[in-house]
Amino acid sequence: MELYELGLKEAADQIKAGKITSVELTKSYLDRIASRNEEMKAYITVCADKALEMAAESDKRVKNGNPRLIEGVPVAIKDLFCTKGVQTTAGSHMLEGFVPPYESTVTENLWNAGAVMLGKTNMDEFAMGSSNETSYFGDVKNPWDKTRTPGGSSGGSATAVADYLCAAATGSDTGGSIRQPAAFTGLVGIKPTYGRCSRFGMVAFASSLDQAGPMARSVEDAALMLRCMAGYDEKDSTSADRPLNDYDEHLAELDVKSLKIGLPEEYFIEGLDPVIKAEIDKALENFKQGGAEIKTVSLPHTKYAVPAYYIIAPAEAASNLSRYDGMRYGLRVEGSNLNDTYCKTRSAGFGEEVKRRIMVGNYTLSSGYYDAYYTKAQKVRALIAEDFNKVFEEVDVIITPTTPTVAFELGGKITDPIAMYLNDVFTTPASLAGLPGISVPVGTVKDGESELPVGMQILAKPFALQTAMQVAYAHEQMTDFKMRSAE
Amino acid sequence: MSIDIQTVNKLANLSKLEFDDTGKEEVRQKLNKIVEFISQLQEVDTENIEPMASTVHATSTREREDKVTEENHRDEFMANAPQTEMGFFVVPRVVE
Repeated sequence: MELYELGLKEAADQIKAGKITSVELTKSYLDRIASRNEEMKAYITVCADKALEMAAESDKRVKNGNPRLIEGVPVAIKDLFCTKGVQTTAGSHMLEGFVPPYESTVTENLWNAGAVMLGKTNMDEFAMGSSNETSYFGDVKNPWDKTRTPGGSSGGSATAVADYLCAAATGSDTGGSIRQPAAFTGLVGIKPTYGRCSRFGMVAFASSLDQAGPMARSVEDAALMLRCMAGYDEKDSTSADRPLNDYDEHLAELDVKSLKIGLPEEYFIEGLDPVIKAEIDKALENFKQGGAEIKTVSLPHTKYAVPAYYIIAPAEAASNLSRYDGMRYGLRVEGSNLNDTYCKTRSAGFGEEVKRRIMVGNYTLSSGYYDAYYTKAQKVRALIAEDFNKVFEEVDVIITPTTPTVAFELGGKITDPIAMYLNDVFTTPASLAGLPGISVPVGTVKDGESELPVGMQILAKPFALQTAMQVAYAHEQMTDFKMRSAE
Repeated sequence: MSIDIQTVNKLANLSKLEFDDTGKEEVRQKLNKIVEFISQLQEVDTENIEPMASTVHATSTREREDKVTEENHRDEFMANAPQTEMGFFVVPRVVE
């Protein structure tokens, strides 16, 4: 077994036990990245020197007998977390060359837990996309089939983890950007309750929805990674001032016999690939055998989540992205006057999808349309949240497919925004309601010549992520899904 | 309700973006499809429903003491600026 195949927990244990060093492990990843990243395009920036420096520091700590939670384990960071002194682009030409003078809270927490930074991962531009194809820095390839997308927007992080180019990675999820790529690459991806991870130092897309989370090759690794990222932060006014669970230490505490699972009928609809449904059914059968109660529930406003999301997210994005004016940081293209400089800078710096969403956002926010679109969407958002509240009076978790299809071909949907948006049909409702959700792999299906993973989504009440993790862990013990091995 | 070129021009101006004629027409067509898609919401009955702007579960907004918590990082913050002079951001001339 190669060192890069170790999971987060396993690697941390071996480093702490002195069986391997962080420098050895870090070199193992750096070598693999050097031989594969040009093709896979998982990383935008690889920081080899910094990684080796951090690794040496970790080895010193182990030697001195004071290792931290994930001491010396190399991780990858989605390129929208500001990292002090390391370029942070958010996948955009606009921020090419931007070197933050400060550190995001999520990454600061990871370094304080002993993690080593391998680099910054590729992503859809400003996290706007579901296939990673809107990135300015090239299309990321899915290691299961290199002609396919790893999903998005955290596609670089997904491929980095699934292709063994890091032990675990951070992602961010606004409408499904952790869960969908996790499903497409056979990973465990967690979107915590809104407010669980600090947004301080995260490049903003849609502030009422953006939430950081982990991606890893096992439930335990994802739980441990989240524990190292999350926590209250006074620098984010929406941060939740609640105690943080040591999630990874309570995974096996679920009593399946007393578990109530809700299956929302609106998620098992036309458009859901039947092979995906079959894989989810297999997983549910395992829970049934284990004694769980499974009941059909109804979330009647589900089909309005995607249109509501594509009003709210672009509206917030149009406001958030007004900061890119070419004056204080980022790209600047000189024009004949101030206004012309703004227009030339933004037209050259943003890609097509970002421009489109800014235009849509300004449309729904403009006078005459504000109530018809923006306020209406916020009311529908309230109805969607209320649907969940009602169902959670009866069940502990809700289980759904994560995506309606398996990973699609690169180039397959990029010219049709609506087809791309509909990818988010099962992930946006929980985003709008601020609920925690996990995508776990349930199996693989044949599609043409390829064997591709299928993801199952587990949703829980606000701040009941521990329950969802326990369900994910129980599933992991029962499933026959096997992560693809490194080539 | 369909989006015409005048609306595209207005939105481009609000967004501080510019498109050439081909780009404008493409944006117009795609915006029309998106607007048609999001207009589905009109069929939802939202009578007496309060708009939900945020899912923050806190009951009150936090307050903190009004004191300086950051040191001066002027040089670091200026380092990413496209153009600076004597510690200031330089912008194109705005007064003729």
